[in-house]
Amino acid sequence: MNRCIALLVVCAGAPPADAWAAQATPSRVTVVALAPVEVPRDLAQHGLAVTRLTALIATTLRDSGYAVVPPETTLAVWVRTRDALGGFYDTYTGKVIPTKRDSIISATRLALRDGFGADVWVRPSIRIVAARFEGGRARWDGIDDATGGTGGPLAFLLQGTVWSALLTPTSGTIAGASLHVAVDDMDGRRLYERAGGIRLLAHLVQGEWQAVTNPFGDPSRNATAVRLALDSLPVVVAPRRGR
Amino acid sequence: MRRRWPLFPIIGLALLSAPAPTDPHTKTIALSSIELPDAALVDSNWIRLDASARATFDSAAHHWLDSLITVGLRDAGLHVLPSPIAAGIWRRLVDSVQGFYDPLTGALVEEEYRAVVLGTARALRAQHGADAWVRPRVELVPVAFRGGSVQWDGTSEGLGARLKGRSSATSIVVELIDSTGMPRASGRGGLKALVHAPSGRPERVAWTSIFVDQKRNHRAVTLALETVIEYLAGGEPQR
Repeated sequence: MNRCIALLVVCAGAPPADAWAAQATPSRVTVVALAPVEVPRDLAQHGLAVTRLTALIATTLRDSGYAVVPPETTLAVWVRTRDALGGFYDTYTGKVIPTKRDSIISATRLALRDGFGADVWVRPSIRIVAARFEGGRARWDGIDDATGGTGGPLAFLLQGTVWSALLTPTSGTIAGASLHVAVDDMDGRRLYERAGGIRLLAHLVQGEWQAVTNPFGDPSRNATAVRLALDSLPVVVAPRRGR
Repeated sequence: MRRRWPLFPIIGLALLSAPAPTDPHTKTIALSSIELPDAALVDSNWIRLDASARATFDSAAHHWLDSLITVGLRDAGLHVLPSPIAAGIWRRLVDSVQGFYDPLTGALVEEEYRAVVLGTARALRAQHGADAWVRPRVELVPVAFRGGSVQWDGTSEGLGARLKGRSSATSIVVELIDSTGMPRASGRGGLKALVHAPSGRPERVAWTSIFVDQKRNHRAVTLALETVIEYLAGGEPQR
């Protein structure tokens, strides 16, 4: 008997990894305005850990040859613009009003360009994706991660037997976290978009799914996610040194 | 939690607009129309309602569920104020604070929300003599399935195959609020599992199927009202 898990999550799909790298002529930029990594509300308790991820992105961008408007400055511009325009949430429903949000984004872009000479706006975010798992491993956005479930020869041998009841779920979908990076020019055109997987948000422990307590606490996983999300950026948005 | 307040069309006028109680010992209960969230965090996963579930709920299901709750309270000997009464007061008070979500962050402003709840409870008491206010909602809850069935909130459901794992289900939750705005009792009744396994593998059930089984609707409402009715039977009306 085939056994699997029915955890269905919202899938925030990103374009294929090479979609942006395939552009023929790279834009040339000097100054990138980096926004802090945006975290979904349900992962807000990990804000401190995500701050380290923002710092890692800033370092990677500088090492690639870009001048970086620091995330604290970019955030301050965003907050000032948002507050000046009265926010973009419906006070009756708590939902985003898309037109108001778009106008605040446009005004922030202008402020970053005119005030700081920014050529592009780099907007990283944590996204929760539905990661397919099979045989004890899940694969998404360039990485694979162990679910903690049974896989391999044991699962193959026991599948379809009465002993399969001893197995933990071997296939299905489970929530995984990815670092998503979007880069827009100051006219609002999307120049680059790519995601790098970080880790699963739950693991199987004795047959039960348990939430991972510190999903952004592993520096090597964070570094891999940043590399996956940014490694094609210079191909699309080439750094123009020494302007 | 995001909320959505559907319109409160007056349905079944003969059912809803009952006359005031002649017996002074009969408790008067103000009823709100049942709510359905757009999304909920279940086992670290955001479950977002499909548009078809919202359409089914808004067009028909909330009428059925409101009627079942009304009948359940009436059968317990309570006088029920129809939901448009509470809805009208609620809307006026929400307008008076211009909504209770922060326009900058989208977060619920707890003080304003509490003020609207308290104001509604007091107005229902002062203007309509309500002893308590019943607020029902549909909740998405995490469930574990094992051995071919899932059990939660007083009910169970077969999956169609012997499986083990976790998924989500819907329950009806009924909260009783007194005239000082304080929650006094709440009850839960399992409505429908969101997983089944007709082909031996777990699959999400069709969103439109959540509210169509009237027997399950009735059982969920009955279970959810049990605690509330017990509380009301034991306590004195707050005059």
